[in-house]
Amino acid sequence: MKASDLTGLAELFPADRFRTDPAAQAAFESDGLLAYTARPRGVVFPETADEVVSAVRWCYEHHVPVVARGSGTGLSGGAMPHRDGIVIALNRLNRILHVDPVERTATVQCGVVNLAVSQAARPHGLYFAPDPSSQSVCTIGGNIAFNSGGAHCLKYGMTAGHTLSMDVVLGDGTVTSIGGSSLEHAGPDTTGFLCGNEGMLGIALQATLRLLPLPEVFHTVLVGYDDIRAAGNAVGAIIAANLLPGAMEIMDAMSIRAAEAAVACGYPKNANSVLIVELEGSAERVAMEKEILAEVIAGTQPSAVEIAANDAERLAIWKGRKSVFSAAGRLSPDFIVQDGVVPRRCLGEALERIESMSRECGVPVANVFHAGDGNLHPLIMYDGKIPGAFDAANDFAHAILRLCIEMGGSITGEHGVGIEKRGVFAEMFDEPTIDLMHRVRAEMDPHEICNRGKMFPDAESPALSTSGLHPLEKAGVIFRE
Amino acid sequence: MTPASAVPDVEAPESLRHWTDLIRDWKASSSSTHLIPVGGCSKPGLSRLNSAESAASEPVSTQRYSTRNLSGILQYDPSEFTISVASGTPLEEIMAALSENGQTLPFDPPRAPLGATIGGCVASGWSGPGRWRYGGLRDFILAASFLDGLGNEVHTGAPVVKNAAGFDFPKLMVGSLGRLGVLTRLTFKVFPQSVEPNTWVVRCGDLASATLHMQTLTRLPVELDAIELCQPGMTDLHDWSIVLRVPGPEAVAESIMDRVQRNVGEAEVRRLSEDHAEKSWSKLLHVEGEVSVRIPMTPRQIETVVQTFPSELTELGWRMHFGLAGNVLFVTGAGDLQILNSWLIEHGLAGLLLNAGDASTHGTQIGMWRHDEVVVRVAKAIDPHRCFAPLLFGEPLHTKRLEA
Ligand SMILES: Cc1cc2nc3c(=O)[nH]c(=O)nc-3n(C[C@H](O)[C@H](O)[C@@H](O)COP(=O)(O)OP(=O)(O)OC[C@H]3O[C@@H](n4cnc5c(N)ncnc54)[C@H](O)[C@@H]3O)c2cc1C
Ligand SMILES: Cc1cc2nc3c(=O)[nH]c(=O)nc-3n(C[C@H](O)[C@H](O)[C@H](O)COP(=O)(O)OP(=O)(O)OC[C@H]3O[C@@H](n4cnc5c(N)ncnc54)[C@H](O)[C@@H]3O)c2cc1C
Repeated sequence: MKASDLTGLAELFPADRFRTDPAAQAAFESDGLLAYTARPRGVVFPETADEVVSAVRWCYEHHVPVVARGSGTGLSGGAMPHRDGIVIALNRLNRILHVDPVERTATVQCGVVNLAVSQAARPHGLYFAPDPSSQSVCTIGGNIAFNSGGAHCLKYGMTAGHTLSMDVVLGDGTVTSIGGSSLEHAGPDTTGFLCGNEGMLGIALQATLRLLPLPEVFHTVLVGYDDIRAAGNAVGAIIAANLLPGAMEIMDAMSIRAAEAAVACGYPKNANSVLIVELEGSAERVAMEKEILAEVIAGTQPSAVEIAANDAERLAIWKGRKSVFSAAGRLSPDFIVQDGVVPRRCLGEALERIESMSRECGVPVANVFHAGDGNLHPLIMYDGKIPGAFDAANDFAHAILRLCIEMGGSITGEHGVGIEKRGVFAEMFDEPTIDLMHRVRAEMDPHEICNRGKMFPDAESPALSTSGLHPLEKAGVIFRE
Repeated sequence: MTPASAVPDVEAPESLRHWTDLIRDWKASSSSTHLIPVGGCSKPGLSRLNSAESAASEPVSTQRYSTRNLSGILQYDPSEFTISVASGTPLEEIMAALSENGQTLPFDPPRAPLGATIGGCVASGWSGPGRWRYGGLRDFILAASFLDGLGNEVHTGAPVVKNAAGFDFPKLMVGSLGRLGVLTRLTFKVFPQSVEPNTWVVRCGDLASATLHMQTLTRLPVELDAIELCQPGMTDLHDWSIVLRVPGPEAVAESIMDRVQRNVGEAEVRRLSEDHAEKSWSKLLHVEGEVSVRIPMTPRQIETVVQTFPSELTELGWRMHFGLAGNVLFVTGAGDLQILNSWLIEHGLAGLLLNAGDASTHGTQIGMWRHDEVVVRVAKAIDPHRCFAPLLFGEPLHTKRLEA
């Protein structure tokens, strides 16, 4: 199909909101996974849900692939364009339609930025719990599509647990509302089903989100260990003591070094790894739980224990953790973040095997992870300018994902399959299961226009480029976890 | 095939293999009888033919088969805080195994003492009072294997506490009512048991102060495991009251309840004895009654619900209580459902029939079920030959109907 064939679509939008010029194409050529790029034929900037729907209907009729895009911070290539298709940029659908403190809900358009929801809820003592590190930039539509989490999803769960209803346009242009404002539901949980669909079944237009009361107090502890296995065992001990912290995060020696170089976080000297534990809740409960936590930690042979005495110290602890990925830019020009999950009991073994694989293939790796839920984030470092370096890093990344599958885990905890993990998708799910997923997709998106080429292993392969930090990370606007 | 013991007329295929054959043969015979998988019918209302179907010009019927032979705990490692079970495993067995390790499914799956199965629990989508603080079934289910309408067993989700790979069928199966496949294996995240929980009642007088106090409590930054609102006559003879479950230890609970007292003004806040508490929860959890119906709603609808509830039913002794701080309404009583059905339609509410009573001609879905295009399409994908009974949607159910 030639570019001129998009004229019918162009007629639906004013000239400044339908762009086919190279600058617009280049600006949208990748998301946070910069290793994969493709230039779209055009980009539309709808300002209303109706405009999104008419764009989808036009694309359906003309078999033109569409990629929905929030802020493009995804790390698995989910928002990477299709070269024969268009991008629907949703950032202008950014209105918070309603905050209801009685029902503890917020109804928002899909382009609303995650943090904006909590800011709007704050005057009522409420907030939106899912907190991806990119929350100052990423959108609710992107969070829904990837069922995103954050450091605190150990206690509060992912986006799906906080999404009550949504309006969605399916791949054939049908608009439907699912779910309701109630916590309870009669009939199959289709809202839960559509969370995490990676934009492959349709585009979310707006959603009603569940809000929670703001935690009253936090108690944040930084613990140093001589070896990473001890840090992993400490996580098990904390959970076994019936504590459910808001967050539990581990960083290895390489990550500590990176963070120290970047933000001088002042983590315990000579610690081989650190564990961050954060309790949160009512004042009386946290007061009780911190005693138990202190006792448990004392029994795990820590080399250092530091407790945040005030908000500033708490933020300083988190600053080190949140800086790791952008800090890795100082250690290596390029890197891939992996996102596999292993059963918690396998954490120690998984880390040791990742380290030995790293030695074998000669590709360095730093590890930070959401330890409470077994979600690894190995950071695989390479220099994209050296021929073959990306391939070696990518092979290593896939070997880690295979390790996760072998241990009974998952290839992704929160970043999605996208383009990046399609190659191992069929190793996690068997044929009848993938066949059912295809059947569902065919019903919802008969011409496969939504995010064509993603998730499923048999999809066409994308174009390659080098990689590096997300432009917003380079600018210090967002940080990864 | 062996009959399921508690429900003599429900056959139970002996193994997964028999289930597969059953579905494949069904497909081959393409009969007008639909298959409905059940555990053993502790919620028999949920596996009924919808009345609109039985009244259709080409009558369809359903046949129940029980999963009770697909039973047993498949994997349980307490340190991992996950459990994998076969779908026909009695809830009681699962709760007992968890309890031995100080763990639980904290959303209080109802009807465990009636022998309810875990598969029935998921398919009915009914979480108990603990859903308020801890989240419901949808938040705890990690993986689900099920037989689709082609007789293939599919394995969805992953048995780890966090996973974002593939479409989220495990969540879809919550509330699927036996209409989207036969659940065979399930994996859940589990939690430590709440420490020494105790029960308190806030006596509020009239409904207006009860709803006001409840709104205040739902925004307090304190841990309340459960918040239920009861009509006079349920936990208190004369007052509308709020029943709270507060996790211990004692000193923490007392301090939290001091705060609750400060926030509810004049209302009396009282701790229930263990015995009294158990009776209250059992009443709230098991929703006894010849006829019982579960109706999702929102806290803002409470007053309208109470004010407009048909007086004929109140006079016949029908009772109601609001679970999850007003997010779900349970009504129980005896007799025909026609009045309740009309009232639900009038207020745009969807009801699920838990127990239908003897005389009822109504099906599982009563009231107004808003059209859900996603279910309609997903059902076609899962079950192209329509082996399983359909769900019915419309606005309202009885005027405009679309079948899944
Ligand atoms: C009137 C009556 C009284 C009973 N009293 C007792 C008693 O006192 N003690 C006792 O031990 N037992 C009793 N039983 C039996 C007991 O309820 C069953 O043995 C039990 O296992 C429960 O069924 P259930 O709760 O799993 O769900 P069901 O009521 O069987 O089903 C609920 C919903 O889930 C669906 N469903 C169920 N399983 C699946 C699955 N695997 N896949 C997909 N969908 C599914 C059904 O289609 C239905 O929509 C009684 C049964 C009846 C009918
Ligand atoms: C520095 C950094 C830190 C991060 N930290 C975290 C973290 O802690 N936890 C975490 O889970 N993720 C994290 N991420 C990943 C990313 O931020 C999340 O996946 C986020 O939800 C993506 O939102 P977005 O608006 O940028 O979506 P995009 O990247 O624009 O899109 C993501 C996917 O969603 C689809 N999509 C977008 N909008 C819609 C819509 N309305 N309807 C349907 N599909 C849609 C796209 O097609 C694409 O497949 C991080 C990323 C970066 C760069």
